Amino acid sequence: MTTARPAPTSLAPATSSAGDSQRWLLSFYRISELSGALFFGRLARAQRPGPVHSDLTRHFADEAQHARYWTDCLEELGEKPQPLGAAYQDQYLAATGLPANLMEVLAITSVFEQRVMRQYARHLTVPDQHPLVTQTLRKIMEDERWHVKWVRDELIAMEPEYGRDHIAATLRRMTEADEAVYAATLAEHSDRVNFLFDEGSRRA
Amino acid sequence: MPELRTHDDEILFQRIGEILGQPGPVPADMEIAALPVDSFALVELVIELQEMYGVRFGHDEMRALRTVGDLARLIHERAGRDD
Repeated sequence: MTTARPAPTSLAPATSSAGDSQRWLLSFYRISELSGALFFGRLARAQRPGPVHSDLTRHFADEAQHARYWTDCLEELGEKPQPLGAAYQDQYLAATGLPANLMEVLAITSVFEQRVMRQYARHLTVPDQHPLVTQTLRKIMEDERWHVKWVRDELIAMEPEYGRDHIAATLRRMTEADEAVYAATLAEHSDRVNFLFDEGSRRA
Repeated sequence: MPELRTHDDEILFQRIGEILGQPGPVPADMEIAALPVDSFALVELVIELQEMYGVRFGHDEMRALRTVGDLARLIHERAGRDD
């Protein structure tokens, strides 16, 4: 039932410069945050007013702001965002199937946000990184911590309605999909960060 | 599956069309996979309809849906059971 867009065009890191890899990564983050904003904005529009609606709206606003941060960061580095075919959210929906209800949406979000946190945390440790990139990563990670927390709290609050075991099983299913998506389509992210690590170590 | 109520169906198919940005109601026999929208719009559609009718679907029920009519029947069945 899901429609998948084509995966991002791959560029071999071995033939790229550090600047190319950085531009690709920041553009990848930017499109991911933009896609997240659009997704949460649509969900917020579909929800009735209430606590979940408020949190979804805040999440939507944060993701839009993050996309702006990455756009500004790229501009200040003298770069233009690189066009990419799809964000990893598209791959997620293709792998997990269309979420059947809000609990499943939040389960995907929980797994996805933790993946983002790990990716940003890893990027933060790249040696000899431009301070603007470090600053942007740190600023966004502050919000991401709240995203992880509100989604986790909401899933706990849904236990009486959906059942603790069912929610745990859904999270396991989404985690398996996350690992499949990461292995199949997000390996380039890992290659790009590794390339920056190698370049940074050489310069240090 | 129970018979669909005509008036409810008109509203439902009209609303599905609106959510999907279509000029009018979506035909009941239209394949969901063939709807000219991306995955995100489909998620929005599913969540909004569940909110609208106060119903909840499960993963297996969603996977079994093929057409917009199947979706409408599931909503009516679930709404009738929950009433």
